[in-house]
Amino acid sequence: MRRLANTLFLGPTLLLFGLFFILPMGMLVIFSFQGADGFTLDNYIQILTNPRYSKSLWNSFWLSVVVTAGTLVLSGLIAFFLARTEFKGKNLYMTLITFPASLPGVVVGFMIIVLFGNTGVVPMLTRQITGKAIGSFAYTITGIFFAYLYFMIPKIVMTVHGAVVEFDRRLEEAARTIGANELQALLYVVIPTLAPAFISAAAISFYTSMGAFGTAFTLANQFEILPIIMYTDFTLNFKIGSASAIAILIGVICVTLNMVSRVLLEKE
Amino acid sequence: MTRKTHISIKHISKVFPDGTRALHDINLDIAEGEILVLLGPSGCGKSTLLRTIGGLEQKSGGDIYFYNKEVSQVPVEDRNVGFVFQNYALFPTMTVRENIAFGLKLRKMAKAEISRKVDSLLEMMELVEHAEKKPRQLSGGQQQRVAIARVLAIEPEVLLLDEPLTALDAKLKEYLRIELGQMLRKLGITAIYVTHDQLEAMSIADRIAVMNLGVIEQVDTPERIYSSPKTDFVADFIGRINCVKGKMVSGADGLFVDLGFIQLPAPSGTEKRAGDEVNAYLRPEDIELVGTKADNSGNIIQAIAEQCIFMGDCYHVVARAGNEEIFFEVPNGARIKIGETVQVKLNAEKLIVL
Amino acid sequence: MGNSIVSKAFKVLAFVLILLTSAFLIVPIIFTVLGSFSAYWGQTMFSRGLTMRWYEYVFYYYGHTIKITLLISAVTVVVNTILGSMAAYKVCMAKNAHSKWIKFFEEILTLPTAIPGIAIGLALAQAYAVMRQSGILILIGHIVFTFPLIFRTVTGALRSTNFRAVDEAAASLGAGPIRRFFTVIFPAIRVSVLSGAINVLLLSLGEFNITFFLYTPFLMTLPVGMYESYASLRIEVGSAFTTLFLVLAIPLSLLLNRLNKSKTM
Ligand SMILES: Nc1ncnc2c1ncn2[C@@H]1O[C@H](COP(=O)(O)OP(=O)(O)OP(=O)(O)O)[C@@H](O)[C@H]1O
Ligand SMILES: [Mg+2]
Repeated sequence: MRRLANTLFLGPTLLLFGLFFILPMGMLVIFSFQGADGFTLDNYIQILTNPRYSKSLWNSFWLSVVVTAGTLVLSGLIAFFLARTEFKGKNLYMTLITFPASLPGVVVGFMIIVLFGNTGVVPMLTRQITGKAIGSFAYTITGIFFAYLYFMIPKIVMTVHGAVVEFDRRLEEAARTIGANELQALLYVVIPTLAPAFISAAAISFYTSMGAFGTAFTLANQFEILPIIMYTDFTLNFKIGSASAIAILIGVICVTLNMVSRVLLEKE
Repeated sequence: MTRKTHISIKHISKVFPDGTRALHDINLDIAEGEILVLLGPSGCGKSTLLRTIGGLEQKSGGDIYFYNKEVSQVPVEDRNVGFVFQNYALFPTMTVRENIAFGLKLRKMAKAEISRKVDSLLEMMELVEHAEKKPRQLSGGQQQRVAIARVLAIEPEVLLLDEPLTALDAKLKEYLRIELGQMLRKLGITAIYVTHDQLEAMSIADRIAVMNLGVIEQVDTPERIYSSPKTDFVADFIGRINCVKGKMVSGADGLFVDLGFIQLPAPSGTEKRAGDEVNAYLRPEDIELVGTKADNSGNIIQAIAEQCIFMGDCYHVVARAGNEEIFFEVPNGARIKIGETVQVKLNAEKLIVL
Repeated sequence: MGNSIVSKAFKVLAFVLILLTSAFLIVPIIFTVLGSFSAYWGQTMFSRGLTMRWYEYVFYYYGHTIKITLLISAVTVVVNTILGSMAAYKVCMAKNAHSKWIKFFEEILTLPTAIPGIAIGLALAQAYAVMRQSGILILIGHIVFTFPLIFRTVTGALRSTNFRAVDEAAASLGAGPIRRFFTVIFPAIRVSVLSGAINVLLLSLGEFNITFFLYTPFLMTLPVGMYESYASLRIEVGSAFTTLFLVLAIPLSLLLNRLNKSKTM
């Protein structure tokens, strides 16, 4: 009876994960080590040595770094603002600015087209004011940068908001009474105390940006970042080995940083 | 001994944005080197007043002077007040040493001087062996000492302490109460100390300001607060006391208070007049059990014992006198049975009439 | 004094940044909805009047993608609600709930949200290339990818209160595991199950990365359709298509907000 219940409760899930998650991922690992004649590390080595891959790794890395930095600053500001200001319609405001977190990557891409596309809101507006369209960069790296900000900010606001709300304001007051001005209190007391939450947020932001695909693909499907290169290798060039290696690399980065962020958040 | 006025609070009021009226026309002068305790029940505005003095809260009206200088435009960090918080608010990311050095670093003091000063504070607070620990590795009492060392480091003009002992357990609290009182005296620093614990207030204060519902009811020495409360609230709040409704009457040799079951001579200097309805207060220690054959010097009443509770070092007796209930304590030897009529003597000199 | 000027300037800058960021997040959503009704997206929004033309266009050419997505998402939600809450129950109530094995098992079951969709998509596409035509692979991808959302919510709910004691009490009264689950446990965690289910639904409705490796021209989901319209059609069509998606997503995320609030209260 007990055994039957166990099988009933867990069996289907185990079957599902075994067949359609562990097995395919395992095969992905195997493919990534497969060359023309057996086992090889070439697929991984080439990511660093072949300019096509190393350049996209570089691009992905920097894009993620810059997005993470921007996201931390802007989400941090909003989280502090939300935690420390009372105003009418705060709930509505919060709902509005966190909603984009539930939008799919492709829609995020479209939002950037709406804002910064050739007929986007910003270029149209600047043309009306200055006579010259400014800010029609949707299909460039700048567009991708803004697009990543667009989905990261709401997500990170939600991640750090709790920590900021729970931050004991007396720490800040203590710093003030012994001579710190607002900025010094922020720099030396508030930020260091909230560091675990913000580092965790940085980890989330970095790995999400490294693995994001739909958004960038919507805006610039030729752009050389790892996920797009991987897609191209798989569908157009039929290079299963290198596509698998890239997928594994990104996967490892994401899983590791995901673990880091969870450990830090739990510490909080 | 008249000392210079250090802090002068004039007509301070505070209304929070949500409409809560926390302080109402507060007036208070604190002398140089004085330890003033703000005492009152929870929510009466003690912390708010302290925070307003420290500059952590913006006043809604009135003025605060430090040595005749109005300070409301002076930002917190420049007021040079040492603020000790209830849960100490130690910086969790810094070691004990770094916590204490923080204010000095902000003042751009030379490294060598900082470490000399921090060392001497660590020594004074008996924290030397904990210098490199983080706050969470310390006991409550140790954390409290770090909090004090941290504010002493900046040599504050005024020390503001918001329930610095409340977070500690009873034993430690009693010990630190004495310790802290001695230390404050030794430093000779002007200090405002918030607590809702009377014992703490009595043992530490030069003067106590009793607060209730955002106003100060009375400011006096601990002795006078206890022996001559000025308002019903203070009488009731401080210590334990019998309260009986009475009426002023004029008798053969002066003014009396008629309590129904007895008439007691009114305290000298009372402003009450014959016919006034009053509350008469008498502390349990001013009620004494006297034998049946006692002297007839007066102020003796008969009462029927209703409860007799063993307290360890004495019995707590509740007895009915006329329509009123009074309570007092009797020594362990005296056995009183419930229902028994006892004779007690009221010390009329200690009677308080409000 | 200098400090106070710096901190004033800092505050003004912060406020401006907050305003700009908020506008950045909200404005495009508004313009998308407006644009979807505009006859011509030009200098001014409604210079050539209002129209429903773009919606008709979307329904005509992409109606099937909406149907397919609704079908896939519905099945995903049902399957994961059942599998996810049952697995969560078993993991939390296991006799050896703190053993390394259970921990490891839990890690595996939550892994799909940590791994980027493209990796899962690629893995499934390579391993089961033969199944691709049937479309079942898309469904399986969605189920695997969204499973952790409900699994995590429910384990969280089960752990936040001492359900083990409740469960053991029920067991001592003679209730079997299935009966216990449906009569004692489930009613107490149904808000969490519901919010997990909505999370699954939201993620499944918008899933693109995995699906993009698995779809066929005859089996296209709504997000893939949207992608195609963004890449090759007028911005007004994209707006209409996106607005249709918003019509699905906004009520769900409002409901989710509400549920999360009622849970924390
Ligand atoms: N930031 C605030 N906003 C609104 N009302 C407040 C705020 N801070 C305090 N109050 C209110 O002001 C009143 C006085 O609060 P205060 O903290 O000064 O009391 P207290 O005497 O220190 O009490 P306790 O002994 O509990 O610390 C209370 O009614 C409290 O609810
Ligand atoms: Mg208080």
